[in-house]
Amino acid sequence: MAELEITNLRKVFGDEDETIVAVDDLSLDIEDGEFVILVGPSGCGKSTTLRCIAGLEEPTSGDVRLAGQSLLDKRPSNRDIAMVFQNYALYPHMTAFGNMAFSLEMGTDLPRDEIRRRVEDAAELLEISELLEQRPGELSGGQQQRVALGRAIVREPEVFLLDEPLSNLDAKLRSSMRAELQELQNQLGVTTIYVTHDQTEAMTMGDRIAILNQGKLQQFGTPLECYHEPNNQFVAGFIGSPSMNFLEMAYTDGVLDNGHVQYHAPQSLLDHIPPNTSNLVVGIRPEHIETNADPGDQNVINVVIEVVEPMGDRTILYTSIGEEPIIISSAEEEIIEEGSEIPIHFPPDKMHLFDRTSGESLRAYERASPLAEVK
Amino acid sequence: MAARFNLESLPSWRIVAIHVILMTAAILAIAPFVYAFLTSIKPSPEILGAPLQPITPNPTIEHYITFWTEHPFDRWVLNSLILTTGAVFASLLLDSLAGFALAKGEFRGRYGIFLLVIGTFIIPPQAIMVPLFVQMGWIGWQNTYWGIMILIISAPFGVFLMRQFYLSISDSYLEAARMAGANTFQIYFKIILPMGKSALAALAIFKFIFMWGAFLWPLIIVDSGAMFPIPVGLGLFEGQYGDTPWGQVLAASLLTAAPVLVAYILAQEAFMKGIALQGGVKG
Amino acid sequence: MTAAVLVAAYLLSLGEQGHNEPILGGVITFTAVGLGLIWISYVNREFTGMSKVRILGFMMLVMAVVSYLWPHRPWPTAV
Repeated sequence: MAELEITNLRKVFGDEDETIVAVDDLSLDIEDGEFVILVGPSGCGKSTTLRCIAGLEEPTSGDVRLAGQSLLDKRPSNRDIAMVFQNYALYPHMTAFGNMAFSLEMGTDLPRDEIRRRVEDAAELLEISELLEQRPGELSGGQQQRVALGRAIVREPEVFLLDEPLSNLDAKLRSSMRAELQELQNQLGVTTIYVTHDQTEAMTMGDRIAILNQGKLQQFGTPLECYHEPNNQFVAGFIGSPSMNFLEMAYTDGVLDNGHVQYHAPQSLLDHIPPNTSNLVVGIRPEHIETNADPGDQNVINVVIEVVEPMGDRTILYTSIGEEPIIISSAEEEIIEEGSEIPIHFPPDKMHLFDRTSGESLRAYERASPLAEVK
Repeated sequence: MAARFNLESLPSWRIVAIHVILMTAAILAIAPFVYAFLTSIKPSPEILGAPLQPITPNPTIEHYITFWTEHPFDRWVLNSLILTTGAVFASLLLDSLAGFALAKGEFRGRYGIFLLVIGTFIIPPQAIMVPLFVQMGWIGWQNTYWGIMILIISAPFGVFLMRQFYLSISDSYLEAARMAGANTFQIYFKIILPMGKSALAALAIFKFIFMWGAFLWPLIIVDSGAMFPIPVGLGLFEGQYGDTPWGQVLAASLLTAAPVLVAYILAQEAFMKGIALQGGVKG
Repeated sequence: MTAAVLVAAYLLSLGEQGHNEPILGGVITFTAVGLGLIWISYVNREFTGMSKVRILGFMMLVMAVVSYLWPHRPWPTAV
């Protein structure tokens, strides 16, 4: 069918004096019908990647192949790819119908009634049949979003490209559109690449997510893989909310030390630390820190809680170890007061270890773990 | 920017003050027209003779008739119509194309060309009218409609206005159209042109005003009475006799102003938008 | 080549006074604008208010005919 392969994609902007590498040696194999999220901070090259696939930018090197055929020498309109733009790019002077029919009128020689049928089918699918004669200016943000999706659907493409499609919607609409988009993608079964900077969207929507930073691929895997088994410190910090706590620690003879606390690493953790390592970064997610430890135990740290944010189902606690701020997300129902001192504990199996210079994870995960199967 | 001025929320004395100021301004603006009209229907002896009466007891349309029969006023009107139609249409076509290219095109020397466009702003057209007149002679365009129109059509203002407007249109519209399979001409014709409708309307109005009111250039380039646009005809007519026939002058002025007034009333909204656009404040 | 130059020279001289009865410059202008407007009104469905543009286009064609049939009057010598 139509799997999309991106091989060694590289895109450099600028001239001889000043160059910006937007995408650096990116390779992704996307299976047919898969929902893949490209996520990363702004300027990470995710939109450039999308535009290279769409044909709006020409890659400096590398290849993009759809069903084994290179797309690079094809015009954007011949690539069998439809794109939804961040601002929807709905033509204000055309009705919703006109907008959806435009690409069929321009790019194909389908007869009028076939175009009408396709647009009406898509409108029905998106529940906007009664809005077809209205202009974008008369539609709400959510409705415009649907028209923009409809415009992509009518072309019956092999690949959908969505460029931050939900960023212009308010929070409530965004979460309902999220579910709807997923359902729509399931229904249509079209390979979809979705660009976002929002890690919640990335975690909840995709079959797999590709995390980019500074043009380089950091990790490509299922959301849970990226959450539980981050390849490096960047992925660990990017995925999850609130984000992971990091502590720079020195390591000597089974003891991790950052000048304020000492942590006697159990054997399960020591196995991951290569010999001759003296400096590393310890990462622990806020939701994995235990707040009900016994104060007398080894490795228990006593911290003073500075700020408490009750969220209902959980409580966010702000504290610090030395200079490093630590965020704790506690599911305990016991009320903790600001200024109180509590004992916390880092469970060793939830701790992540990173090389301090490269940021690479020291834990060698087996990629065939059951986690990889969970979608 | 979008803060609406809410009249009802103001104290009543301020509403009164605002109205007084506005009405004074309105009267000041309208008074010359009223005076011109009242004078144009006075019989000649009454116009400068004493006693001065604002409204004549014996109104007449003789000035309108004499003016029209003694001068080829109809032909001048036709000339002006031909000139404005041609100049406005050609300007819209060329300026929108050039503006599109300068705003969205990617080609070598784009910046240089834009600098040239800006540069021509600096030179007042009056300064180059004599060399231009000579040039027109070379290509045989003296005493032609084209010779008159070309100066209005080639004014850089239109290119600049359209470019600035098209810059404000997001690239994603063009990209979406390109992905849909539209070529550059289709993008221009089906996307850029309709989306720039308000700018086009503004440009059309400005070019209309420039061309309709153009005096100096047509005066230089044309020396036959048959080719005069109205302002030139009127201007020469005024200084023609030692004794200026004021009734006829005012009658002719009113006839000249009438089409502009009608156009303004018809296109009021577009006109306002155009002014706002030119000022760089988008509505 | 020479023929083309002659045709071009003739076309460019049409708006001149010497040839202006009938007013061919007006005929050319109005016909071009009229046809342009009518063409746009039929081809471009993206614009709104195309019927008005079409009417305007036909008015321009009428004006072309009017220019062609413009009555000749002797010019006052003084101007």
